[in-house]
Amino acid sequence: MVLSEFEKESGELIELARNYRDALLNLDRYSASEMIHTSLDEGVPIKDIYIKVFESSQHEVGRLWQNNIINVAQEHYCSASTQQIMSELYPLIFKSQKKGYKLLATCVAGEMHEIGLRMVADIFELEGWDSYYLGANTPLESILDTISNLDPDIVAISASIHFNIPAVKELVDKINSLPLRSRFKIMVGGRPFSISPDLWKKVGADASASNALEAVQLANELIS
Amino acid sequence: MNQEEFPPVSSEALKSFKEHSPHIIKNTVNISLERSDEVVQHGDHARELLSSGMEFTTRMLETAMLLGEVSILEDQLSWACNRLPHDGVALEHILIRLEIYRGQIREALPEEYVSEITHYIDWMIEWQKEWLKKSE
Repeated sequence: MVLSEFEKESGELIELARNYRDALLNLDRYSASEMIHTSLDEGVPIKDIYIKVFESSQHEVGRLWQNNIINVAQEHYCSASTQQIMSELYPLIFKSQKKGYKLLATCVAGEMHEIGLRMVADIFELEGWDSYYLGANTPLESILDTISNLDPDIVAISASIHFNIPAVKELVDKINSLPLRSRFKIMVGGRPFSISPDLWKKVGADASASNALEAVQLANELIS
Repeated sequence: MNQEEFPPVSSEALKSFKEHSPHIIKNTVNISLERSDEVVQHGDHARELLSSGMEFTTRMLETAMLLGEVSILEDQLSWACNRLPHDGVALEHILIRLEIYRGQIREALPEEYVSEITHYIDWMIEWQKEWLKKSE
């Protein structure tokens, strides 16, 4: 049997992921939220909810739009609702015991797709990091200022649209000339880095990860 | 695809391409609009739609040429071939517009930079031809 991408990404949580996707496509955020909370109560790990339900459903919704099965408004509703439901989980995420490491997570200027990076920041938080999430479309100079003020251990930079990669390179070039550069590592992520395994080297970063779990594992290795 | 065959283009060629690209896009759109049977389905939005498409293509191309990354173009062409027919854009017309675009690059850019840039466009055109063959 050939598995769909959605099935592969959702694994054993495919039924939950399908129901979650369908609830959002039916504009029923309340049911979507309820099934997530019920699953958590039943013992499904929150990290699995993030990767195998939220992330896989977002990818599936993107494919549905690409194939003209849903429209842009439906896609935006799914993304916005998932972000709202993620926020409902913050009492669980932010109670993790802290390790004393700081993550600064940002999208480059011009990049409007933030949900993937937000998932990364949440998983870091869950794993005991202090996450500082700047969100979409952040101006270059303000990112540099924040790095200098925060003194992070990892700077995570995201770009989903390929033509924003020059902005990533420009930002990394500037970061690389900061006096405190040796004190932290730079990780990059987003679709362009997933399709081109060596692209992170070309933009001058220290590493790249294809999803939130891989990112936090790699970050722990980089700082050890 | 052999990635090594696509080194980043020189900064001089890229700068020249960026300087000339508004003119290249405008001419590509104008010529494409003259082929009225290929744009009639877009009605009053034809110019806007074609301009957005060529601007998007140009930004992708600039990114690929800056980094020497044809994979970026391949991913976007694949995406476009799946998506654009739903927006009323025929795959054959994408190929025709890329060929018009290449012609405009040849006309607009100083001769010493043309081959560096068209090396990437040639690859896009060949990729598009292959896709069309496969979808027949």
